[in-house]
Amino acid sequence: MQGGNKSGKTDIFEGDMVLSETMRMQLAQMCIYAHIEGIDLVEIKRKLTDEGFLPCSDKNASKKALAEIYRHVACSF
Amino acid sequence: MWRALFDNVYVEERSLEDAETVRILERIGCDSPHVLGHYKDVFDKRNEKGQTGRNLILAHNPGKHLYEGAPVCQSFGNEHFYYSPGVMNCIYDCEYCFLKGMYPGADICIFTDITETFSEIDELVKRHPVYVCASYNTDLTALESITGYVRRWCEKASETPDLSVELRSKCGRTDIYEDLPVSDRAIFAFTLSPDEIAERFEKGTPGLDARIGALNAAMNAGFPVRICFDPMIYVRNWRDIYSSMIGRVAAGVSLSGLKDISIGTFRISDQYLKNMRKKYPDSAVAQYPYVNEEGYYQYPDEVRLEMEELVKRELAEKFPNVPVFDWK
Repeated sequence: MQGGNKSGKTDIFEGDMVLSETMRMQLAQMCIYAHIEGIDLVEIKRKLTDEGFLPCSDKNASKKALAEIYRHVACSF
Repeated sequence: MWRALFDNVYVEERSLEDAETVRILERIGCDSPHVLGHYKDVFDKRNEKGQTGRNLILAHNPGKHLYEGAPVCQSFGNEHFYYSPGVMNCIYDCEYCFLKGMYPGADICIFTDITETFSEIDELVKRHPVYVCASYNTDLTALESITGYVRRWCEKASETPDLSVELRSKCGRTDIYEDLPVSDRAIFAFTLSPDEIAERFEKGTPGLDARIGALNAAMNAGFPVRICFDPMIYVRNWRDIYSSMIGRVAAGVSLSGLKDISIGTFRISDQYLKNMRKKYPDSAVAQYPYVNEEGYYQYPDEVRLEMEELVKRELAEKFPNVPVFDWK
């Protein structure tokens, strides 16, 4: 599997984001779904790093990064 | 017959003498059902015992026989919109179904006091026209060999001028419609899904061609027919598979007997989704990161609107002049 896991552990993004508990739960759900669907979170992380969304120094920047992760995981056409 | 479908058959003591109970037991060839005090003694105990099979329970409905439709249900412009919980649970195993979050297991409970439901309808129609989804908590058509309730509802609609009934199904049977009493107020609704969605998320259901065949059989028998592209399920190649499905439906269905089309993306109450996520940790439908809007989980607007708009565009092109109802 490419970065996500069944229990929704958010390890792959740990250290790069400043997360509230609610944000952490949202990210965990995205990771669970990514794992089930075989979505490559490592690739998403690389893309977000290249685009300057990651790493995040505060919660506001993390919200933007979270929205980008969501877009890649849940809204991809 | 019953052993092929059910582990055990139970009958509530108070239901034993019901005409429907006798009929159903005869139909399934069961002459010695287990007798129990209350259906919940079995129906609600499933998970606690860790069992995975399915029982059939015949019982009386201790609660309301008709409920007003929930806000996420499509009312098709009917002001007085109800659903009947006459049978609880479904023979099909659709991963996204709200019944998964509503009921504890796979047992099917048939309420044999259907005449009570009809008495309630008789009272209601004295006040206003009534629209009932009779196949809301189950797939009545798929259970017709056991219950005979599709026939009962068609008869009731036929003899009650202010009653309209919707019977929604994924069943591929084509042999029942010719013998049913036809009424323009008995609407047969068919949920159609791309084969890719059916194979992955609708276990035990017939494929698209079989459902189209059943739809045409109902239409040819003279019943108004509704197509339901609801719920549409998001997958990464949804555009291709839904577009291709609509093409197949347009090629296989005559416009003449089509009453209307209903569309809607997946949505579910927060409590049901919570239950489903616990029960189905590996389900992509249950685990999708939905957004919560006023107690209901649904796809984010950018997904929901994109899916609904694409389907609407295709329908406008392939089914011109057929009314399309959108749940939202």
